[in-house]
Amino acid sequence: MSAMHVTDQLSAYIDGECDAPHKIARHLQSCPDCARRHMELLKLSNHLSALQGPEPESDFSQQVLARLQEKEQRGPAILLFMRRPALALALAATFSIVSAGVVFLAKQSAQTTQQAAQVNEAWLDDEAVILAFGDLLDAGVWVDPFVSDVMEDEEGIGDELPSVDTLVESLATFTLDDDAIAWYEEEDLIAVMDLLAGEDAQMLSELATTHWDEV
Amino acid sequence: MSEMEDWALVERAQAGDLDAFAQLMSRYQRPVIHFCYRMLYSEQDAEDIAQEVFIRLHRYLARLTPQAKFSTMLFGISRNLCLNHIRDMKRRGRGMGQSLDSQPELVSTGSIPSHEAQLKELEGRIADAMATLSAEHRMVLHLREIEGLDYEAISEIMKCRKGTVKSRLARAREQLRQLLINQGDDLL
Repeated sequence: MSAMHVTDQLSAYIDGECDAPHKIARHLQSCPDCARRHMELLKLSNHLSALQGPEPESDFSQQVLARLQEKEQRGPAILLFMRRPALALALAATFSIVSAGVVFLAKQSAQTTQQAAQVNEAWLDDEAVILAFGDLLDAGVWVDPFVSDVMEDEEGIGDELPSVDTLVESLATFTLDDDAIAWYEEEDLIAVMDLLAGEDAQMLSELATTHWDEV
Repeated sequence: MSEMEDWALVERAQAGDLDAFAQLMSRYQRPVIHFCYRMLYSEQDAEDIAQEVFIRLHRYLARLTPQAKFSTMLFGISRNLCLNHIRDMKRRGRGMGQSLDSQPELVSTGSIPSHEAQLKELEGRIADAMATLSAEHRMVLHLREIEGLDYEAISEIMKCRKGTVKSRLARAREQLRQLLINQGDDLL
C-alpha cells in the first residue's frame, strides 16, 4: 500500500477526531482506494449504530430496589461474620498476618509519619477490615470503581501501596481449617480460596487500595 | 438525558429518596443492559450484571460528586463488572460462547414482514461478527458507535489514554471490516 494512503487515519476521521481533516478530505477526492475504504467504514458505522439491545425486564427497577431493601434488612456485612464465628476467626487471623506486613511496609515507604499513622490505624482496625472483606464476599468479586482513580493519582498515595506480591505471599501461607470451611457458602469459598491461593492479585490489590482510599 | 437532571436525582437519592434512585435506573437501565449484553452476549447475564451495576451505584451514592459525567461513571462500573464476569467465566471454564443466549437479532422470519426480517438478519450478521472481537474491542466499538461517546469520555471509562482509544477503535473497525469482507458479506 502506498505511503500516500490515509487508511490508518480514516477511523479517527469519521469520528471527527482526526488531526488534519482537511488533508484527509482532499486525499479522499483523489484516491479511489481510500475513498472506498472510507465508504466501507461509514457503512459499518451505520450498521453498528443501528444494533438493538435486549429490552429490560418490566420489573427491572423493582428487582433492584427489592435487593437493596433485602440488603438493608440483612444489616451490614459484619453481621455475616456474627452468624459465622469461625469465618470471622479465620479472616481475623488472615488479616492479622497481612496487617503486620502492610504496617511494616507502610512504615518503610510512607513519606510522613502522619501517613504511616493513618495507615496503621486503618489496617489495625479489625472491624473495618472485616467490613471490607464482607463486601468482597457479598459481591463475589470485589471491584471498586474509584480504585483506579487512587492508583492513577500521581499526587496521591497510590504509589506508596505495599506490593501486591507481598500481600499475596502473606495470604498464601495461611490455611483455613475444616471448621472454618464448613461455614462457607460455595460462592464465598471460591472467592476466599482464590484470594488465599494468590490466584487473584488484582482482587487483592483492589481490596488493599480500597482501604487505603478510606484512610 | 441532561447531566444536571442526573445529578439532581443523585442528590435526592443520597438523601435516601428511593424514588429518585428508581428514576435514575429507569433512565439508564436500557443503555447499561445493552452495554452488558454486547460484552457478555447473554441476555440473562446482561440483566444480572446490570442489576449489580445499580446495586454498586447505590452502595457508592454517598461518595458520588459531580466531577465526572454521571453516564461515564456508570459505564465505568459496568465495564468493571463485565470484565470481572468474563474473567470469572473463564476461570470456571465457561467461555463466552457457552453463554450465548438465543440471539435476539436472529429470529424466525415466519410472521415478520419481509423488510423487517431483512433488517433483523442484517443486525444478526453484524452482531455475530462483533461477538468474535476481543472484549476491549467490543467495548470501544459499543461506546463509540452505539452510545455515541467521544474519545475523552471513552478514555475515562476504559481507564486509558485518548490515543489508545483512537488506535483500539481503528483496529476494531478494521478487524470487523476484514471479517465481513472475508465472509463475502455484501454489507459493506
